[in-house]
Amino acid sequence: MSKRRTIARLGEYLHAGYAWLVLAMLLLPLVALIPISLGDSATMSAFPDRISLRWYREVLGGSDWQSAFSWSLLTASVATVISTTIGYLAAYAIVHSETRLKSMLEILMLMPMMVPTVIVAFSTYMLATWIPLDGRWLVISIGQGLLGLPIATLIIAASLRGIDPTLISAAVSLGGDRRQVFRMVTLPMAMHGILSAAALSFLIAFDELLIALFLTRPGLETLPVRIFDSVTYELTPAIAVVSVFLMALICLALLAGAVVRKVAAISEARVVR
Amino acid sequence: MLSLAVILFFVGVTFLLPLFNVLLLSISDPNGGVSLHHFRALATSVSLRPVLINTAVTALQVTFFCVLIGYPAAMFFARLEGWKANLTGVAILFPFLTSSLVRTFVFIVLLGRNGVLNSVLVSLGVPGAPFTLLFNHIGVVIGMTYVLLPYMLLALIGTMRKIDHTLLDAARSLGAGPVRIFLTIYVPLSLPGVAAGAIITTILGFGYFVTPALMGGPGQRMIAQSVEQRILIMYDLPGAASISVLMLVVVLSTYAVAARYLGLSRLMRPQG
Amino acid sequence: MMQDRPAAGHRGAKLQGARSASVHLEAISKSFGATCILSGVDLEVAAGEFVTLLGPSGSGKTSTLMVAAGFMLPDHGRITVGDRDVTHVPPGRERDMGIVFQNYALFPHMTVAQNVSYPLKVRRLPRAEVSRRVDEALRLVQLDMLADRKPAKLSGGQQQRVALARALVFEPSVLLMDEPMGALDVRLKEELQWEIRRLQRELGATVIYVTHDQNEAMLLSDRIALMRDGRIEQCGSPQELYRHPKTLFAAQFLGDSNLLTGTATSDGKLEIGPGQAIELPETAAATAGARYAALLRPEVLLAEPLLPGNDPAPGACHLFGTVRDMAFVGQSIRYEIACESPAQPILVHQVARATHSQMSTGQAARVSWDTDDIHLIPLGDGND
Repeated sequence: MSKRRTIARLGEYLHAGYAWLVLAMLLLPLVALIPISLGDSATMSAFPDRISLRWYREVLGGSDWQSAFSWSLLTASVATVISTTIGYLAAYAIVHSETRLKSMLEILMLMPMMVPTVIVAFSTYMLATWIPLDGRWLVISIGQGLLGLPIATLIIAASLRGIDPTLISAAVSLGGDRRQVFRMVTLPMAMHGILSAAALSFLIAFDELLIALFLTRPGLETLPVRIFDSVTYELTPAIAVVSVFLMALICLALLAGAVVRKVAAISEARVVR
Repeated sequence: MLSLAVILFFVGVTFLLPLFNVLLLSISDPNGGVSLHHFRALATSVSLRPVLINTAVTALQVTFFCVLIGYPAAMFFARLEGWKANLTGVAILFPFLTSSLVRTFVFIVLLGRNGVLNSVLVSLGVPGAPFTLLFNHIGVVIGMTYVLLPYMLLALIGTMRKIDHTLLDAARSLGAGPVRIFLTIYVPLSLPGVAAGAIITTILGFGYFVTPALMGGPGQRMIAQSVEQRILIMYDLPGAASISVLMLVVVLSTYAVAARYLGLSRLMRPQG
Repeated sequence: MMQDRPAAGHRGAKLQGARSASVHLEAISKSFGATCILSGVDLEVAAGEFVTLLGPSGSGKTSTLMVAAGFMLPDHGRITVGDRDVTHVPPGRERDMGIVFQNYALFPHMTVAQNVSYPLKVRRLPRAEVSRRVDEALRLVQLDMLADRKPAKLSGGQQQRVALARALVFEPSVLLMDEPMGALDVRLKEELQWEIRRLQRELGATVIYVTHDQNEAMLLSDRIALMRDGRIEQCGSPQELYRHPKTLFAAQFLGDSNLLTGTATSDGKLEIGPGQAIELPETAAATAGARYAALLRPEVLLAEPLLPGNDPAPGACHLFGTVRDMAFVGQSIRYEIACESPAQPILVHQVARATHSQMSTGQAARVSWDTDDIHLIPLGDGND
């Protein structure tokens, strides 16, 4: 019997080891980007012969990377506003409406996620044909906003569902008008969800390739398009540098999320007290 | 009601209308009439058939590997609690959030003939090393499995976490051994998560662009690339539209069937 | 109908062989880090006996059950079933205990029949035997009509019966039940309690049952083990526990109680206040000078209006006071009567007969009792 127990124990260790290995395999390639970005030569290696900041200088000094970054920042920011606003309105309607409308609206909001991205990109391409060339960046934003819309709606709807409806009734019974109730009760309680939705839709928009690829033209190139071209034609450590920046951005977002959650927990605890 | 109008107007103008336009394009006729001309062309196209087969095979293979690799790992992660659960959660979320471009790029570096993997294999004296892992089918499958594994993990962990552990205790008290408990209780109860994860990875894999475009050779072209090529290089919008409609039919019917059995919300919120 | 359902005794004899065994927990202790959750639990359960672990939450009753079930390994102590030491036998076929979990733990992906057949299939019984015994078990709990339903489609009470059938079908030597009525509403609870009682008597099963509901414990059990702070405070028949609690905790946990504390005098009385003594029964054998609490259950008291004709002198088996509150609760009238000497008001539950005159708040009252209804609890030793 103790033999059986030893085998069971061994199995558990193997299982745990395997799981941590899978996690390591998920993360290590991303970690490897750091040494790759620090390489000196044009050929890339996870173990560069000489460490240098050459490619960092190249990226930060190169105007093409910089303009790609600012285009992405612009389109992604507008896209975030779009998906968060429409997402909030849709989530509110979904949470507070009767069943038939609700499921229809839900499916409509999820469509951009269900439809393959190429097709969303294609339809955005069609949309662009109706709009003057100067407005192309805005069309990119709209397409990226559409891609972020399903996630934003889901997250905000989840946080709105978490609000006890009797709280709203209480606020109304205490004499708040609609706008006050929204500003003083609904919004603060849904804030965590709204912020998460905004952060996620920003990331989605910022990383979006196909829409921008379909609508790109000289002088309007987002960061993913620049990376895509670079991987296709150049393949230099500059891409690793940009990747490291992108990952730092995600770390920042995750960290901010954790901080927001902590602050929310603390302020909640204070309210309870 | 005003907000509803805003939503419908926005989504209608920016998404539904253009999408409808794509549908129209696919059944348009060079003379401005309506015909199934483009679909007939697709059906007889010699170049498209291998692409379709390759797309389906790749998507299914990637899903298979995601389940195979992900299931045992997810079982372990689902059991964790406290800071360990938070840590693994963030560790899975991180690659999930990282751009698929970045993740594909790093695999191009690591899988190259002089990349880390091959160096390790050579130094271990594995016969046949270095292998060609790029710009072929193996490379695409490895890359896509890496890119899509987090989706599978999140779907699996979400479902496995909800499995009531007293059920396992109950089975134990009723006399079942560990293997039997796993097969008769754990697996059936985690199956909805496997199904949700598998459907998500299959559908995403089916429409995937970045990884096959960057890691595949000409023989590994997938259907999303065919659409892109027709739009950007061949300017064959009706052709692109007809392939899009084909994809749309495949994907939406898969969703419809899956939603019947699993519920739409389960598919959309795999992380629970 | 009569043919479908054989006589109760016959049914029982068919499912259960003479397999029920005695269980003995000896000096079980268990701690998690610095917190000790069980400190020396001793419990002997005879074969075919129904013993309930009763206690407030955190008293260790569920932990005791989990130790008996083998899901929790005790730090010290021994568990024997019959003459088998099972302390280190993991839960399962060898340990041979049927368990009804608090949330029933029915397998949601299996039908009722599949749930009940699970322990038999695991034991690789022949198919005919499996279906025969499943049918029998389901008939026993009157669920044969619902054999093909999934648990989610059953009511709470039905789920509870399935859990019971599943735990009984493989004829375990012991049946352990962890608050199986916790999630049910009151009326259903009562119905199921009678049913469990009937089943257990029919099958002659050895049962260890956990609950925090004293009525449930009294209705079901041959003996009740009252738990407190990880040990058994008192173990005995419901009557014994109710009538003769050994400690104040036991007296207060089971039912309502009036406790008159005082010092025993040499002439067989208990001095409960200055110049106020009550008579003790001859059997009490109180040591003069020691402190005691006299337990008087509210239902043994009689409250009457204090009329001018009544004897106003303080007597040996009555108290005087004023009605502070009264409530009519159906089967009885409940009075709270504030007296001079016990600081707590006296509770009286009085059967409401038509001939009784109801008193109202503020009225002067006399509370009297029969001396033999007094039970003495010695105080001291940190008992109070």
